[in-house]
Amino acid sequence: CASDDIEYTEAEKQYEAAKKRVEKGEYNMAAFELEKFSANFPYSTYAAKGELLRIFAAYKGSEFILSEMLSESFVERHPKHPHVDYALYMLAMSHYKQRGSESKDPTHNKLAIEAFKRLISEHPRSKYAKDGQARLQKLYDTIASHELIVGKYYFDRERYVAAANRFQTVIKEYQTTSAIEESLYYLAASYAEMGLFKDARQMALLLRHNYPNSEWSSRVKEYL
Amino acid sequence: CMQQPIHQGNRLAYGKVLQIQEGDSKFRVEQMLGSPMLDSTLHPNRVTYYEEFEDEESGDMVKRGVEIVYDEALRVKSIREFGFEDKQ
Amino acid sequence: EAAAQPVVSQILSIEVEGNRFVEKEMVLSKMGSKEGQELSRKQLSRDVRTLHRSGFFSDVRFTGTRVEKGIHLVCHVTEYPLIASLEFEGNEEHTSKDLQLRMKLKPGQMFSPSNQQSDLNTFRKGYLKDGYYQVDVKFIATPRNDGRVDLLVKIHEGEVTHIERIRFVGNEIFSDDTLKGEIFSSESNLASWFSDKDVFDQKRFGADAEMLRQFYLNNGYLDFQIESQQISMTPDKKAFNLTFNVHEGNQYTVSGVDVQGDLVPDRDALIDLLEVEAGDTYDHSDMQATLQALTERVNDEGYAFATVTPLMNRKLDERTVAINFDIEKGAEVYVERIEIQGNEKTEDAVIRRLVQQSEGERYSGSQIQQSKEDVMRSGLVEDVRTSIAKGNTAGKATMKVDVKERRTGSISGGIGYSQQEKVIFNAKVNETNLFGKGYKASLNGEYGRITKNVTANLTDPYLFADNISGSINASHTATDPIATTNYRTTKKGVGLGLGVPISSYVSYGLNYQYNQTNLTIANAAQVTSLFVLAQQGKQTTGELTQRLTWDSRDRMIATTEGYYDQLTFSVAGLGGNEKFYEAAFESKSYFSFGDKNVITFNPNLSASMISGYSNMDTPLYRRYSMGGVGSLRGFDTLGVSLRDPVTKEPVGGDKQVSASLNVFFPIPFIDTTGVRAVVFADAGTVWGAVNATVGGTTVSVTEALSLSRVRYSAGFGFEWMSPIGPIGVIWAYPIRKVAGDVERSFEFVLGTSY
Repeated sequence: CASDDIEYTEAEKQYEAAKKRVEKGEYNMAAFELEKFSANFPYSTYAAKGELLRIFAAYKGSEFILSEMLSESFVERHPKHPHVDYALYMLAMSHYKQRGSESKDPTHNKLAIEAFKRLISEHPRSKYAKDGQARLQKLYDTIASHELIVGKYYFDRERYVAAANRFQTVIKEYQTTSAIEESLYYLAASYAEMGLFKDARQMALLLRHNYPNSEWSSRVKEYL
Repeated sequence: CMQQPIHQGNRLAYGKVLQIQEGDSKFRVEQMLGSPMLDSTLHPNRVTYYEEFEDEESGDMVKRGVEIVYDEALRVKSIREFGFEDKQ
Repeated sequence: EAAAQPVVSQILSIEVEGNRFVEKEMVLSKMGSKEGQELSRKQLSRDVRTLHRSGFFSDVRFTGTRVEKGIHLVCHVTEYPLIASLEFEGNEEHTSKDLQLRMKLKPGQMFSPSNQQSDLNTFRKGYLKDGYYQVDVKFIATPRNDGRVDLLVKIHEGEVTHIERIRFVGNEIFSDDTLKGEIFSSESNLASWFSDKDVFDQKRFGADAEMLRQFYLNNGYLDFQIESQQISMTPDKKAFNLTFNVHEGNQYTVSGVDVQGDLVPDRDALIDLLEVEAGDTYDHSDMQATLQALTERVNDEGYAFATVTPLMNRKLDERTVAINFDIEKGAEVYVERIEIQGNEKTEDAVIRRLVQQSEGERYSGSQIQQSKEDVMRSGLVEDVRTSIAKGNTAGKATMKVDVKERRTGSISGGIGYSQQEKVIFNAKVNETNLFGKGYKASLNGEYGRITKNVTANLTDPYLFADNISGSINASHTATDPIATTNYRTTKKGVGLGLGVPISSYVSYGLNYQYNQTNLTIANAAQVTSLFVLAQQGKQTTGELTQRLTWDSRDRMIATTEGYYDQLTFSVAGLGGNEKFYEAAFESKSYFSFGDKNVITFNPNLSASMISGYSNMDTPLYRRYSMGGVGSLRGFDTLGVSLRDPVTKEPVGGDKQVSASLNVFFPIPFIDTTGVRAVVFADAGTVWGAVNATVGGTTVSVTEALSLSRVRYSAGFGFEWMSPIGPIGVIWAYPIRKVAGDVERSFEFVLGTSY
């Protein structure tokens, strides 16, 4: 009916205007305008497109808390949308951008890992899944080094039970990360300090066997 | 260097450690000694109850514990104590 | 439709009709029943309920057309209309912007009953808090042709209602006035325009009842009952009358106290925590305090979830009560993991080292409480929350330490004014969390007409992975002659120090400072005191200082509770040609009263003495003179001192004592946080004997300690903890001064807290 056409073109006009702003790089302005857009044209076919554009604008404008919230609600309301993998990717990247280094708060790292894993499992063939895979490895490395750093903190203060448990977390959950070699070494050292020489030798052998040319396995002689 | 020593690991009362016999179930052991503080991720059926604290009188560090190996049915197969020489 | 024998009814397809805003896939993802599944009536009714709860639909119905192999299901939904625009009408007390912020209903959201109900509650709670009892809110929605609605929020606020009279019925032992003093609400009277206590508030009326009960219980009236509470509206509907009918009952004395159940660590340790004794009249607050003390003690033995319940058995005829504290220790808990959260800038170890509880160690409640205090006092955080959650295996818990970081870098400037220095500019660049490693670095500069100095300091509070703090500093100071002095000095110095904590409040400091000073006469023609002439040229001082400090202040800035006492002893002569020793004592204490508007009393005392040895004189710049903020307000720097009899130049004394009392209190009407007023009184004097030998002639000035020469002053000021640092302004008036003193009555300080 007539009213739909007018509304249709009006929605299209505002959508195109916002798109131009994004192309010109005025991300924050575009994100602000697109909030009014989705309130004014909730029923139009442009509604979902507008939401995706707003997620992109917020993300490029480094408003990661906003892009995180928008992408999360998009995925919930449009579970089968053709571009839902993009929204999931944006959710993961928003967390990724708020991640901490290995000696800082790991909460966003963990949330990013969850989002990337969901992207890869639900949309294995999406072009975003490949990029997700590479980022996952980097996130696991950071979290593993966080465990290692806290373990060494307790090792330096002779809290060997605490230290050993932290190193075992790396071995249990993060074998494929860069922190594994050092964790095996320090686990052996912690066992030795506790007088558990059988366990110390077992870790030393494991380190030598799996990572023969690592700098850490050359230091393990005393525990063999 | 001047670290204040802490009482780390499980608080083991030697009287309780003595009561653990071969054949006891893992459930019974954990009822007596609680769950082991020291993880044993790589060998779940071989656990060590470890304790380290500063002896008030002598001031030196006491490092002691008990290693328990369970069989497939989670029954105690062997018990090895260490560090309980001057039994309190 | 129901065939005779049970027909396999498989769902062949599910369609959704009537949805415009919400997509079909979303409806399907929320439903339990899926295509290809067996149709179950129970699952369908559950789906109806979930779809209703989603808040999108006013109506949800399922219909099915049965075909030979199964059923085609159709879900008919009617969506709530979306809000196109929202206006307010009749709100004077709160601005539309404020209201919109707190509302669920806004453009683009659904006009659903649940959103309406929650907004109505928010309105009622907000307005009741301010005493608007007749508030009434209506939502008027006018539909648009595309199915959306324009929403008008009509608010009728009405008048603020006050309390006119409070009456008590049935109270023989305590008078109405005593009871009125115990409760929060109060009758409208002259002072009430100042506070809002006379505004009727439902929550406060409930709290009043509890306060009454506490009051009676604390005085031993165990049988106390509030029989009824009435609120009656005055005829003109402008105010309320409150009435409490009470049954006081008898006063009880304690016949016996004991502990039972899991006596951890042992009976005696628990017995001497009891604050209730046989023979006293029963006091509820003592009983509560005992409960708290017992629980904390058992917590400290690793029983994080222990419970202590007081079993009271009364003998009505003898009016006595025996209390038996029953202790249930629950599982022994070990802390398996400690996770630090919220640290975006600070390194994990910098917070973790402040947490006394360690992983792999038994849970200890007092250690966690101490850790919270230490983290708060570190100055790195604004707030810290600790929580203990049960781990996956029994007896193991994970502790979370969630911090809210504080802006630790600050650049602050200060402007002072005095007759001598005229305008002094001081600037301070300060960072208490350098590189997120917790290093404290500061660069202070002061530029006045007379003194110009720059000092730099770097401290690592955790040297050698232990809590020993190491610091290095360097400074350069130049002072020009002031009206009464005729010499110029420059001082270059470097130093390093160690700080060792002995207990959580006591610490010991040791540092070595090497200074090179040079004193030159400004105007050779002018007659200059022999004291000054004796110190001309270069001097070098190698000084070793030891400090013992007790610091239990709750906060570094704007302290409200705690003590700061410091004993200092230093010797110069290890390197450098100066030979003297100095002993000093300083004590600051803080007591606060009141919870909402806090009044803090802060008495301070300090005394010190310095003396040369192996017949060397003390260096001029180390002798004592008083004046200025932090020393003796109302007088200028070097304003109070020993003076050369001839030239009146300040030469400083070798003993000094000073005392001061600050009273900080909030300023009425201004409740912006961090603003407070101060009223103070200072007192102090300098005395002793100073001598100098120049070319064979020795000259000396001596002044005995005499009460009549003690200067004292009083004054007032304001302090504001602004985002860029403390801003203060003080007016000080010397009450007793001695000939030769120099005054400074006004000082405006930006950045230096005093």
